[in-house]
Amino acid sequence: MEKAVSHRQAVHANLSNPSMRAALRQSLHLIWQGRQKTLQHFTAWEKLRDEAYAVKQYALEHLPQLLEQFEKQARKNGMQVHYASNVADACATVYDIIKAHDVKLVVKGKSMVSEEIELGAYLKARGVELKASDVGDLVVYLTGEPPVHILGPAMHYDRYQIGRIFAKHLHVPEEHDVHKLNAIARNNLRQDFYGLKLGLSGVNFAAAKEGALWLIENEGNGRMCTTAPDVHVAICGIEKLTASLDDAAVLAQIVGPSANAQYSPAYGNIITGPRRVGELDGPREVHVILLDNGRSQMLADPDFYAALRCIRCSACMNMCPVFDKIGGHAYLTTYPGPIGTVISPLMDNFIRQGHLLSLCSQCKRCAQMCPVKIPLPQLILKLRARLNQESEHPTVTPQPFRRRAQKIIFKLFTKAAVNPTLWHTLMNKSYAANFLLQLFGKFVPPTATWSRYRQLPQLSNKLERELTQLKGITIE
Amino acid sequence: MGAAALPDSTLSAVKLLQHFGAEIIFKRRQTCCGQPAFNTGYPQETKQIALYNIALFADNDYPIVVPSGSCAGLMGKEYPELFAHDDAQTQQMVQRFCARILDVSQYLTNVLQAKLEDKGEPLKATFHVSCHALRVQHCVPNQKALLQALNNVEYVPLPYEEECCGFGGTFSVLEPEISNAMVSEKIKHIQETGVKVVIAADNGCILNISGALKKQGIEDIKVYALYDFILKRIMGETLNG
Repeated sequence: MEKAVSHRQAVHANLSNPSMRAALRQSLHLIWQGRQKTLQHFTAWEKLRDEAYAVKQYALEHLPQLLEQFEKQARKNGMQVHYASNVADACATVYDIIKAHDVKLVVKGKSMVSEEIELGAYLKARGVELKASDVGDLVVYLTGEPPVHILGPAMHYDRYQIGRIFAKHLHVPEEHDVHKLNAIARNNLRQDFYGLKLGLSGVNFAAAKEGALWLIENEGNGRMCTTAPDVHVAICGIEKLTASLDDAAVLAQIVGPSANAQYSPAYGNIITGPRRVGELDGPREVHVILLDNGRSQMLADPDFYAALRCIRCSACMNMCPVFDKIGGHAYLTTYPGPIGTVISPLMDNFIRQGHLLSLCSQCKRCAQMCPVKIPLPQLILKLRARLNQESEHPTVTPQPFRRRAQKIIFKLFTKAAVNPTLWHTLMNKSYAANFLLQLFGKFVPPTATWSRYRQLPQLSNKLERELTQLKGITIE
Repeated sequence: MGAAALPDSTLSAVKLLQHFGAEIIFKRRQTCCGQPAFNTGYPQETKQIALYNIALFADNDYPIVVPSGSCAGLMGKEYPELFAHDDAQTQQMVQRFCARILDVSQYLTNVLQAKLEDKGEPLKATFHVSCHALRVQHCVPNQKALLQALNNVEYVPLPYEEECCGFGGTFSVLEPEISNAMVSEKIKHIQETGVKVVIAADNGCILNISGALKKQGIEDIKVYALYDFILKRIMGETLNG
């Protein structure tokens, strides 16, 4: 899909949205404060991280076998298992199931993978409505926006704004009390669940040994989507596999505190198949669509497969000093924040998503927070290096001139840094005060330089002169 | 580069190390740790700079004391990443170099066990935590310990101190608007403490925060390099500023 807005426009528009920034700042600071309190009660948090790392690492190292085992066991449990290698496959598979049941309305629990395959737009074009049931998801469904955050889709709105959105789209009185807003959403959704034929969900963990799906959520809407209708369709990225429910339990334990400082998610739903003979409720069909969409390519890449350990907890973006200023929309991708910066170029077109790579100050806080120890800042540097290499092909690179100029500058920088005579000459020149500005000013628009928001430092070559005047120092 | 932009900070670090009994050798031919290239995605270029530094300091095996947490972090902890695919001999050589790297605060507290005698007037100060000192070099406890050892300085914690000030090297040039939003948020948190003296121990952060304060016309808050500040306090000299 062609991007309507550029990276720069998106960053600018979101930075200059004060209400979004205030809402994000407040939510994310609350999560940070909560996290510190919650983790005080986890006496062996680092050990739990090691275990979660090992669980994901084992699953990735044995992924082909685990997928086979899961498929066999899930089929035995009465589920129908489908494979989708890309977005088109996944959408077509969902649509085939929808057609077979002649359904016009599908309600989904919150699922980033349904955003990844842009299922809503696909189904809409075919006369099928895909409605959200998570409250935050409902808000952005009503406004027609993508989620601003993978777990808090409407985190950029405060309760007053949500009250106005509900009033406008659901034709209800404008409220701003949280309980009343929840009641409005609940009443609206109840109508959809009543008589619903097909519900859609993502998957948090798919246990191979038991052929079971584990879904976690806080609102109970997810469970409604998977149990109320006759047909439940679950879309599952292949990296969601774990060896067993025991292994998944480790991840279920670490995800809550990492996500939003909760000890554990309010609901955990383990699905082992459709309604069995003699049972009074539950769906009559359960479909699992195992989605690749670039994941197996990442798995084969020794530099980047670590990113597949991600359990979509959002800790990296919650603690990211860039994300909390610009919000998820500015990334122009399904997955924002540090993890999105890493996986989007790998899953989608590398060059087209290369713009993401500047959205990181290398503060490394995400790596400190990640429950499964994905070295996100390192991976971002590796991607930057890869993108810099792509500048060998200027025809396919965005901003080829800037990239070429940057490359030349860093070649010169390196030359100077390994040549003390050249280095000191540069540092000692009378125009040295502008050295940094001159260094960078060449490859970015002159208005967008460092000095726009900061007074430039005064450079001086007095250090060595003054050091030589110290007693007892050896200068060599 | 920090030596050119903030020469006093390095000079004060050297004087402090001497004051507490260290014998200093200063390598005139030293240049840069290579961080600009490293963070912009030029690992091969950074590697050349790393090899230059390793060779430059190879004539002895004394500790290499670095006056900026992020430079220390790169040289002590991150250089090995660059040599991950090199032969065992090269990796050992890199490891030997890395093991010698210490931040000035670590050398002052752990090795010299400096006892600071504060001769300055009573004042309140807050401390800016540098991301790389915190998460790479792990020397923030040492830096804070030095500041808190000054009897007449009332240390006021900075809210959200773990948040980046927005420098990030090339980041601040490629994303000037976001970088400005970050440093402005940092300034807001500083203002919330009501404290007028900010101490920091990383040249990048110092240039960023003090440069933004000046650009925004905020004149009552001053940023001081940790080692300048400590040296002035123990010498009983007044802060200029």
